[in-house]
Amino acid sequence: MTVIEVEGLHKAYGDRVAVADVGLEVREGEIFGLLGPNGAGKTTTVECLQGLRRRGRGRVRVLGLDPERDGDRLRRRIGAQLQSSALPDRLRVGEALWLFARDQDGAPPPDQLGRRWGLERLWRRPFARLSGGEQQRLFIALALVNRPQVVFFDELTTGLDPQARRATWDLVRRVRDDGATVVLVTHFMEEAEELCDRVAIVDQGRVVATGTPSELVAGTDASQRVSFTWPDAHAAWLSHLEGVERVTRRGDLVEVAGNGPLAVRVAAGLAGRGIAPSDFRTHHPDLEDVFLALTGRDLRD
Amino acid sequence: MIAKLTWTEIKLGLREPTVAIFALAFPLILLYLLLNSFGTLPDPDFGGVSPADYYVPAYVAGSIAATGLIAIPVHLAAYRERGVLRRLRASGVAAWPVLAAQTLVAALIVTVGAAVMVTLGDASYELTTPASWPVVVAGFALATATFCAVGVALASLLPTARAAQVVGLLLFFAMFFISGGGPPEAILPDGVAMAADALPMAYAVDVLQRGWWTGAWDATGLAVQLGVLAAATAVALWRLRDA
Repeated sequence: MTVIEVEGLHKAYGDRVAVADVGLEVREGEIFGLLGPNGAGKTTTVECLQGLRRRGRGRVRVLGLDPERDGDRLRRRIGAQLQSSALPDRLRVGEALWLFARDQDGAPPPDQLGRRWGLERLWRRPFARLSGGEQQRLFIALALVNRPQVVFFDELTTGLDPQARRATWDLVRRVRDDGATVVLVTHFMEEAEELCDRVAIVDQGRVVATGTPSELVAGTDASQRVSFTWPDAHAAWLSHLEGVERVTRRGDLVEVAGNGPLAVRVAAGLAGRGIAPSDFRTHHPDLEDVFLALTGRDLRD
Repeated sequence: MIAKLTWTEIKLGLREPTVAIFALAFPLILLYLLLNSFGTLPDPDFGGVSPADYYVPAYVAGSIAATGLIAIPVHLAAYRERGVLRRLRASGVAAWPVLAAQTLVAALIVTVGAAVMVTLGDASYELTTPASWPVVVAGFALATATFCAVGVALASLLPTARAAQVVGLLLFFAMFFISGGGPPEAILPDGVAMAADALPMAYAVDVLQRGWWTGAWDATGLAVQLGVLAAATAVALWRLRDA
C-alpha cells in the first residue's frame, strides 16, 4: 500500500527554486530515503509533506490526506524529528515526553516509551545537558510518542560520532520493526545504503533516480575496480580478461576496471601466473558512484 | 494542551526566573524608593492624591508593560529562533496554544506583582482602597491583554531573541518613565507629556488611576487600549497565519 504520493512538487522562495520537480511514492512499512547533497531540496520536500510549508505546485497525499488542507489531522498521525530544532534548555526529558504525548488510545505511556528508547536514566536531565546522541534519542522518542503511522527523520545522525550514528541506525530499524513507515532524509551515502529499503536520489530540486540501493547501483555504468601493486610492466594479459574495460597504471599500482565477477577473474589470472600481491583490493560501486554517474558531481560537494 | 503548556512554562519560568524577576523586581524596587521619598501626604502634583495612590496603579501598569514588551517577545522569539515552535507544530501543536500559555503565565506574573505592590502600599504607605474594584480589575485585565498582544506581535515581527530584547527594552523605557513611572504627569514638560500620550502605557495608567481614585472609566484610555489590542492581534494573526 502506498502511504505517500508526490507528483510534480514545486516550491520556490522568491526567485530561488528549492524544489523544482519532485515525484515519489513511499510504500507502507518501508524505510524510504531521500539522498542528496546539502541544498538539494530534501528538507523543503519533507516539510511540504508534513504541511509545515506551503508548496507552490504539485499534488501531495500523505496517508490519503492533503498536508495543506488537512495539516492538523495529518500531523496527529505522523511523527517527526526536524533538522535544526530544539527544546527549551531547562525542559527535562520526562517533561518533554509528557508534554508531547496526546493521551490518545493505544499510545504508550511516556515512561514506557522512555524505557523503550533508553531514556529512563536521563529522565530528569534538562535538554541543554544532553549529548548530541541523547538529544536525537529524545527526538526519536518524541516523534513516536503518539504512535505515528509515518515518521520523518531529517539528517538524524548529522554531527554524531560514528558509534552514536550506528546506535541511532539501530533505533531507526526498530521504529520500522514497530510498524511505522519511515522517511529518512540524509546526505550520507552510507546511511542510505545501510538503512533504506528504497532511495530517491535528489539533486537540485529533482528526483534523478529511485530504487533499492542495489537496483540503483546495478542501473548505472559505474564499474567495479580492482587494484594491487605489481611492478612488472607486462600487464597486457589483464586487458584481455573477460569483463575488463580499462587497465591503468600509476607507478607500481595497477587498477583494473570492469564488470561481472571482475575480482575473481583478475585474482585467478594473477594466481595462475604465480603473482600474489599483498594489497589486492576490490571496490564495488556504491550510491556515491551512482550519484556521480547521474549528476557528474560528487555527493560530498 | 494549553493547560499542559502553561504548567510547563510555569516550571521553566521558576527554573530560569531572570526575565520574570526583572519584570517584577524592577518596578517593585523603584516603587519602594519613590514611596519612601515622597511620604504619604496628598499632593497637587499627584493630582491631589497621595504618592501611593498615584504610583501603585502606575507601577501595576508598568509591570504589565515590562512583561508584555520584554518578557513575552524575548521568550517567544527565542522559541521561534531555536525551532521550538516548529518542533511543537510538527507534533500537531499549533502556535496559538503556545501563545495562549504564554499569555496566561504573563497574567500570573503581573497578578503576583500587583498583589505585592498593593500589599506594600497598603501596609506602609496608606494606599486607599480602589473606588471601584470592578473598574480597576477590568482595567488591569485589559492592560494585560493589550500588552501581551503587543508582545506577541513584536515576537512575530522580530527575527531573534536578541533583537526582541533590544526593541522590547527600548520601547519599555521609552514609555515607562514618562507614562507614570517617573515624575507625575502634572510636572512633565509639555513636549514630554505629548510624547507619553503617543505611547500606550499612559492609557493603561490613566484607566487604572481614574478607576482607583473615582471609580469611573477613563474613556480615552479604554478606547486607545482596545485599538492597540485589536491592531496588535491583527498583526500577530497575520504574521502567524501559517503557524
